[in-house]
Order: sequence, then C-alpha cells, then structure tokens
Amino acid sequence: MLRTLRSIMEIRGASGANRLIYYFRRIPLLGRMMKEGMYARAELKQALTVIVQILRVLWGFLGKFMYLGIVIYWPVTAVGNDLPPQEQYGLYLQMILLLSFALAGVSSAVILEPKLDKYICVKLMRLPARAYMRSTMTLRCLSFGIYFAPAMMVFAHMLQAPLWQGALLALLLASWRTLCEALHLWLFDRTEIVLVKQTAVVWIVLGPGFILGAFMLYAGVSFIEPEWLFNLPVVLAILLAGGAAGLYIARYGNYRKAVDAVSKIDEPLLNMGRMMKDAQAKDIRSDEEQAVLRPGHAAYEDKTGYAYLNAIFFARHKRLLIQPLQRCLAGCAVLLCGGLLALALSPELFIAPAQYLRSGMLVLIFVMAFITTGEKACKAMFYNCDMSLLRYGFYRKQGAVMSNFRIRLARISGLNLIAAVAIGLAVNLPLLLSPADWIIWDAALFFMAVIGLALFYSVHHLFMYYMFQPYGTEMNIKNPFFMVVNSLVMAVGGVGLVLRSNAEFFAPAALVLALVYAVLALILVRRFHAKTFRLK
Amino acid sequence: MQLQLDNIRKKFGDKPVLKGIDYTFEKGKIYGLLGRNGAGKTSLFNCLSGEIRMDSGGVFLRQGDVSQPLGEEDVGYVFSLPVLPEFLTGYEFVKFYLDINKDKIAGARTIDEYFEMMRIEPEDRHRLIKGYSHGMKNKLQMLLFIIDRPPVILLDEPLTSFDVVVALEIKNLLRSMKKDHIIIFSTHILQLAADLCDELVILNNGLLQEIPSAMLQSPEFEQQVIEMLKDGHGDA
Repeated sequence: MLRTLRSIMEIRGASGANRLIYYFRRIPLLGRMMKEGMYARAELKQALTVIVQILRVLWGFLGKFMYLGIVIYWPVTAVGNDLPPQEQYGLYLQMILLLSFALAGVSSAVILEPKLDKYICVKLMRLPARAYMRSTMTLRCLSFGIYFAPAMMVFAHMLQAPLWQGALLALLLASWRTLCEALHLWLFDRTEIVLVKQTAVVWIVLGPGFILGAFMLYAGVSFIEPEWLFNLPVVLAILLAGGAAGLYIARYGNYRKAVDAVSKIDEPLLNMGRMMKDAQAKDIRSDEEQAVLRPGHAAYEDKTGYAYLNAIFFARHKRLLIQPLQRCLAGCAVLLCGGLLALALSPELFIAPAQYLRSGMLVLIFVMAFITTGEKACKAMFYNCDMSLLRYGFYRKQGAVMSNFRIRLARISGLNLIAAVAIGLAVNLPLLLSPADWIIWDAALFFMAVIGLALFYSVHHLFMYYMFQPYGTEMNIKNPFFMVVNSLVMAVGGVGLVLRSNAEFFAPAALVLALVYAVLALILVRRFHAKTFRLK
Repeated sequence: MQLQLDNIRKKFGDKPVLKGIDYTFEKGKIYGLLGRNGAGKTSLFNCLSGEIRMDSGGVFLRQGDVSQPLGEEDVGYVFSLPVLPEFLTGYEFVKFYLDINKDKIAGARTIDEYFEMMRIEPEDRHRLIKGYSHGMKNKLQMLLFIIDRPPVILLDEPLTSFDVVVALEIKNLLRSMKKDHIIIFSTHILQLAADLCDELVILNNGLLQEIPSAMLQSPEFEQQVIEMLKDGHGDA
C-alpha cells in the first residue's frame, strides 16, 4: 500500500509542480523569468514537488482553521456575544454536528467522487483500482482527523473548553465521516446509486439543513450539552462504528466498478471546461436549435450589417439576457406588494429603513452589481459570436468593433435601465406613501442613483470585455487584470459603504460617473481595440 | 500582381518557427504549401492574414510599380477547422456578410444564387450553422471569398473534409478563379498538391523552399519531396 501511495503522491506532486510552473509563467513580468524548459528540469521539479506537498499539507491545516473560524466560530460568537462561554460552546458544537457531521456526511463523501486524479491514476496510469482506493482512503481518513485536530483544539480553547475535547472531536469527526464514506459505498454496492451525484437529493438535505443552521444561529440557543457528545458510550459507539466502516472500506472487493462509475471519459465533473461549455451552449435557445428557420418573419429582417447580427444575437440569447430581467421584475413586484401590504398593516415599519437608505444608499453599488446584466452577456458574446468572427479581418476593423460596441452598449443599458426603474418604483412607492421621512426629492435621488449605477455597470462590463478580453478559447479567464480591476470596483464600493456617504452627493456622482465612463469607454475602445480586443 | 514576403520571422516563446521567409507569389497561379506537422504552415498563414503579428519582416502586395502593405481586407482565409458564428443560420451569415461588404462587391448575386453555386440545399440554408457538417461549414467559409473576391486567398488544408464530388467542384472553382487571384493552399497530401498546383513550396526548418516546376511531373517527385522534408527534420 505504501508503494501505491508513493506512486500516487508522485503523480499528484508532478502535476502540482507542472501547474505551479504553468501559472507562474502567466504572472505578468515575473512569469518571463521562468523559461519553458523548466518543465524538463527533473531536479528542479523534484524540489517543486516537495514544495507542492508542503503547501498542500499547510493548506490542509489552514483550510480547517478557515472553515471552522469563518463558517462556525465567527457567526456563533457574533450572534451569541452576550451568551456565557458555556452556551457559546454548546452552540458551536451544535453547528459542527449539523454542518460537518450531518450535512457534509451526505454531500461531501469522497469515496465515489468523480476526480481527475482518480481518472489519471487508475485509467491512464493503470494503477489497480483497489490499491488506489485503499491507499487514498487511508490517507484521507487519517489526514482528515489530523488536519482538523489543531483547529478544533484552538477553537475549543477560545471558547474556554478543555483542549482534549477539541482533539477528541476531531477524532470523532474523522471516525464518523469514515462511517459515512462506507455508507455511500454500501449504497452504491446495493443500488449502483452514486449519492454525491444525485444533486436533487443532496440539495433536499442541504437546503433544510442550512435553514436549520440559520435558525439555530438566529435563535442563539444551544439545544445540546457537551456531555451528551463527550461521554464514554457515545464516543465508543462512534469510534467502533468508524473502525468497522474502515474495515468495510479496506475489504471491499469491487472497487473497479466503483471507479468506473465515476471516471468515464465523458464524465462532466472531470472536465470543468467541457461542463462549462455545455452549460454555456444551453444558453442558445434550444427550440431553435434543430428547427428550420425561415426568413422574412422575424423582427430583425429589416436590419442590416452589425445591427442585424446583434438583433439575431440578442433574440437567440433571450434566456440568458431576458430571464434575469424577468426575475428582477418579479422580485420588484413581490417587493412592491410586500411593501404595500406592510404599509397597510404597520406604516411605521418604514421609518427606520428610510433613515438608513438616505445615508446608506451606497449599498446600491452591490445590489445593482448583482442585478444588472453584463458579465454573463459578455461571456456569451465572446463564446457564441466574437470567438469565431474575430478570426476574420473585417470583424477586427475599427468601424466593425465600434459599431458592435455601440449597439451592444445600447442593448445592455436598455435592459439594465428597465431593472433600475423597476427597483426605483418598488422601493419608492411604499416609502412615499408611508409616514416615513421620505419626500419626492429623496425618491428622485434614489432613481438617479439606480439609473446611474445601471448605466455604470452596463458600460463597465462591456468596457472590461473590450479592453481586457479576458476569455481564452477554453472557457478560462486568461487575463488577471480583469479580476483585479473588477475586485477594485467592488472594494471601492465596500470602502464607501463603511465610510457612508449622503445621498445628495452619491446619487448625482453615480450618474455623472456613469456618463463620463461611457464617453471614456468609447474613446479608449476606439483607440486600443486593435491591441486588446483579440483572441488570446 | 505579386505577394511579396520579406524576411518574416516569428517565435513562440523561445522557439523560432519562421526564420526569415522571403518569397514572391504571383497572380494566376495556385501555390501548394507543403510542410510536416508543426512546420509552421498555419503560423505563416496567420501572419499573412494579420491574425497574429509577426516579430519582424513585412508582407506587400505589388501591383505594377506600386507596392503596398498587405491589408487584412486583401486576404480571404479558409481555416482548416471551420470557424463560423454558430448561432446564425447559413442564410443569415451570408446576408450579414453581404451587408458589410456591399461596397466592395460588384454585380452581386442574390443570397440564394450564392448558395446554389456552392450546392447548399435550400432546406440547409435556414438551419443553424451549429448543425452543419464539417464539409458544409467549409463550403460556407469558401463562399465568403467567392463573395468578396480578395486578391490573396489562403486555404489551410481545405479539401480534406470534402467528399470526392465536392472536392472536384472546389478544385474546378479554384482553377477558374486563379487568373484574378493569388491562391496559396497548404496540404499534407502530395498527390493533391501535384494535381492542383502550378507551383509547390516547402516550408522546412522555418524557411520557404521552391520546388522546381519540372520536378512536379517527374516520376521521382514524391520521393524527392520526402527527402527534402526529411533533411530539415521538420523541426522548425
């Protein structure tokens, strides 16, 4: 088994090292220092392999700290900061039991997980399936407990519980999850069902589970006592069940079938690129896919050139572009009805939100970023239209690029402005009718802000697409600046949110900024498109 | 009319693929570009069509005494793997192409006439390109240069995807067009090159090498070309 494990680690290490070289070479400026010949330098790659393994182990520990810290400890202490430590600890244990024991036991079993590593080792490198699975599962079960132990001990200590409870909890969790792995395998053996791939079932468990978790946090009450978990019979039962499950996994005889079931060559989860491509291909309306399309009856027949091209593009991507808008409009309708109902029942409810909105209008930066159509539309433009047409000289000419850019900007802005107006109405109507301190001037500022932001994001997404053209032909984002600038825009919004800003300044500023951005975008795209708007 | 290649160089990373290509192609001839896998045929075509930038050198179109840099609009390029906007129908794509090139096209035919020329059936014209076979996509690509008749036509492995009947039609079409154009097509298939081309050039070791016309007809032609390709190891 050790030899198999060593082979697996070597394969993982080498592919990790190759990946490290690959991504390092893509860092702007710095990447040039590493030549392509690095892939062939065995001694250097050996060193990189060791570094990769060390990073992997460190990440193993760090990941558990992050998970427990961000998902469990922080929310528990934030909502229960007025609770005594004993109760906070109870709440913390309760969340771990729910998320790590119950929910993850269903959704995160790895024994039947489709994984590239499994495909490479068993199918391509011809490692025996049984040896591969036994080795990887042994490593997984042991490392799972080891990675969790320090984090569990630290957080137990921070909640004033004994350290041994943290260590024991890690052991119990590892043991419990081994039992879950065995149950998944047993289910597959009996019924050929790969539970982790049954998305509907998994979400039927996860959905109510998350709601229960949110409720537990909201209620801030712990229903369990630590003693219920840390007593000899319970501990022994879990450890024995885990041990028995480990034996079942070790002795299981039909791993070939278990591996085959999840490492077929057409397994979509093994090939994220293809999965995304497939998902993206669905964006073209399927009802037109096989149909014979007759000319002469469509709304775009009277158009010519780029207007014609874009009219067809937008018509055939309705699902992608119009559906989010329809959802937004439906949401606004619900918000408006809810608002009017609340107005009828309890008008004074609006006083506090009106106060907040006036000073916290910057929150719209995030709301509009979420609602506006743009990034997905640009992605569809690239993969369904520009990726092929950019290979033709005529399509790269300035006139063509600018004509396309203007038409697209108008279409996307139009969609986003409809959403902006709907939000403006849904929010302002109940507020204006309520006794809250919200006058026409406030409503006008709100409208100005949403319209400004809708325009801003319309320009922003399209401008980013034309200036950075981040997409590669394999559905990967190839330009790191794209991510950096996008994150910066969000960060500026975040800083503004913390600092607060009054609506009198923010709303006109948003509108002016959007208009200036639009003009700048037109100038810059005209100037630089030949360098930036190309296939990468 | 002449197409003059002047010291074209192109590197990918540290690897030089085109090492200073000098050559002059002439109107009225079909040139066959031969080369081993990875020799740089597609890279050369991509440089000529402006799709990728060459590291140095230039390409000029010479008419009489006037020589001008080759523009992207001067080149019609048929890719080995057809690249077309698949969300359009064949008919819509041709209509769009006619619209944007209407200033350049003299005595244009109707869309259906063009389709008939390429023998694309009426029921296929209004299907999404996505559902077209490889051969039909290739025909559609060829239709583009038939429509706007650019002076230089590059065909990257064009005839391999056609059935024998269509291949013969296309060959005849190329022959009929050659008097007004410079046609260069790359291929691996020696027989096709010998059959269709007036001149053969070999891309080997990053350089273009002309094969004497007399050799085309000689019985040892195949053997001699293979020897030439072997000598350069095709490692450019």
